[in-house]
Amino acid sequence: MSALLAIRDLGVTFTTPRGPARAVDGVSLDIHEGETVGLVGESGCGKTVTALSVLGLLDDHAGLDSTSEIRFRDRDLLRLSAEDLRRVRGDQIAMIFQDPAASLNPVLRIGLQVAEVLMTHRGMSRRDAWSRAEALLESVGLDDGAATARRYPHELSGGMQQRVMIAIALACEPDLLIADEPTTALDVTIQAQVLDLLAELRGRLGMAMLLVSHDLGVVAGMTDRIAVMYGGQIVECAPTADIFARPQHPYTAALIAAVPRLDGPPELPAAIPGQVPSATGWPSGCRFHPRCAQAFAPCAGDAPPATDGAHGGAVRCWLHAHPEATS
Amino acid sequence: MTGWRATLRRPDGKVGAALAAGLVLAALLAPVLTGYDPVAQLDLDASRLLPPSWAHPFGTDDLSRDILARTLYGGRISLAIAVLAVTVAILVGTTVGMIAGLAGGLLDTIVMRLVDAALAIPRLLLLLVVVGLWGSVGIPVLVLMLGGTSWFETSRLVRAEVLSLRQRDFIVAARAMGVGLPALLRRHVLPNVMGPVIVAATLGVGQIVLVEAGLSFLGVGVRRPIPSWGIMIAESRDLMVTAPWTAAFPGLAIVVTVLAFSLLGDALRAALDPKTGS
Repeated sequence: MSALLAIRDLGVTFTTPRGPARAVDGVSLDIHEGETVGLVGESGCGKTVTALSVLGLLDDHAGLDSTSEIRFRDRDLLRLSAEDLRRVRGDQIAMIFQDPAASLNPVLRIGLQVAEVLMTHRGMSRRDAWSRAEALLESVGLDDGAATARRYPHELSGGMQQRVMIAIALACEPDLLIADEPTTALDVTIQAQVLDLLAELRGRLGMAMLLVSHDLGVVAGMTDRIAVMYGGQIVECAPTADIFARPQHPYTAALIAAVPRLDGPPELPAAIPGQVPSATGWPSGCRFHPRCAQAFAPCAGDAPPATDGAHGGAVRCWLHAHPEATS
Repeated sequence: MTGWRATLRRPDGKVGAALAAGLVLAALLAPVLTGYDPVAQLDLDASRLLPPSWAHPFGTDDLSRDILARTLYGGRISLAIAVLAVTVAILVGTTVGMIAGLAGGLLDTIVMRLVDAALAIPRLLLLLVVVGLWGSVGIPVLVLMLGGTSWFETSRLVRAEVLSLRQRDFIVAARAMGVGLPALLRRHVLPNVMGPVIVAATLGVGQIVLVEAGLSFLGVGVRRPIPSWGIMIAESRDLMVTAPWTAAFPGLAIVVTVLAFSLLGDALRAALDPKTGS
């Protein structure tokens, strides 16, 4: 079965005053129809850059590798004309962002911001689009759609604003939704409501989803598969259940250990020592080796190859490339 | 619009708006408010330099013209020139600022360095040189010149707004939803730039009234016998001690105009700024 979205060998280099920054390095990832894939990792590991690349939203300082491909329904998004790409955005692939308050235009009424997508992609008149917008606002759980449509963003709470963003994103019933930290800026109770809403709408529309988050707790309940990023690379990718039951990469295991748990003896979650290195100078060899508790001889030397894991996943770690090293 | 209501709730906004509205109304209703012709000489023997009285509330000048009529009709000229010149300045400044801010790179650098250079020259001096080279000018040319030398700040303002808007999440979000460039500019960039631009325009009216008065005073602005406040003050130069009313009323008109639009502009700025707005 061919994938809905196939990212192949994605490489992104930013030009910075401190030299080139290799934010994303050789990322390949498939998302199938109706599937939800989680992209997790710490800040600065390339998750958002990967997500923005799909819709060509990187700024002028970003350079893409010439060998990179992002195939969506057998069209390479990286090689579409600006106009063709614009037609894909918001219609077939939609995106929601971390901070809903900042993602809404402060001077436009909510209704117009929802209607705008319909006017853009469906050629609807302003009047038709507005009444459709009122219905959409109700479908994302905002009670009085007509009243909400007439409001300005600052009159809504953060949770309501993110519901509006979801209404905008889903207005054209896209095949793929990219959600970049959709709940990070929200209160914990509101997070759960927004995730429930996303799950419900995903089921209703049968769309695929790329859920970007630093929060394994958010990703755990929502996804079919998880890709773990570190240092601009995917270090492990496996079905969600396997990731949590049998993490192969020490970084994945460390991320899971860093999540506070309620079902054991009370203890502090285990922090990962050090911090994410800068994209202007990744460590040699395995990029995680300076922080890895299980680092051994080969880790600092060459980059580990991607190895097929035991349970259908893939992992980029010398422990698994040299199985004898663990014994 | 919420901005206007918030402006009118502020005391400075109330006073500024009332004064500005009064000035505009007085200028528009000049024929109703006075029966005198602003340029007709009444009677060079009997009506020269009369002090304020019921017949002539603002007095008369040395050519026996009614100063109230001249101040009212002069307000038409001065305010019309200022509003038109500000319109020119805003249109040019917004366009240049948006292009520079959106294009970025070399074009942005060149345009903005030129604007910096123009800003370094005092405006009155710049206008005097231009008028000197041009020779005598009519009101349309005067408007274009005043507007043409008043857009520099606006363009810097708009460019700075566009640069910061470009990075704002809602612009990226709109692009992510497939909104095209024309709609992006019209619906997302322009409305967010309009606040500071309206403030600049309001403050600009007062400034241009002052510059126009200065030019007219120096004899290179509006030409006699058309009344303008600057010309009236220029004509009363030798009479200020013996007949102070000849300069006092047009002077007062200028002061009130600058005050009105400054108050209104400041109130608008405060009301439109989400950080200080009520």
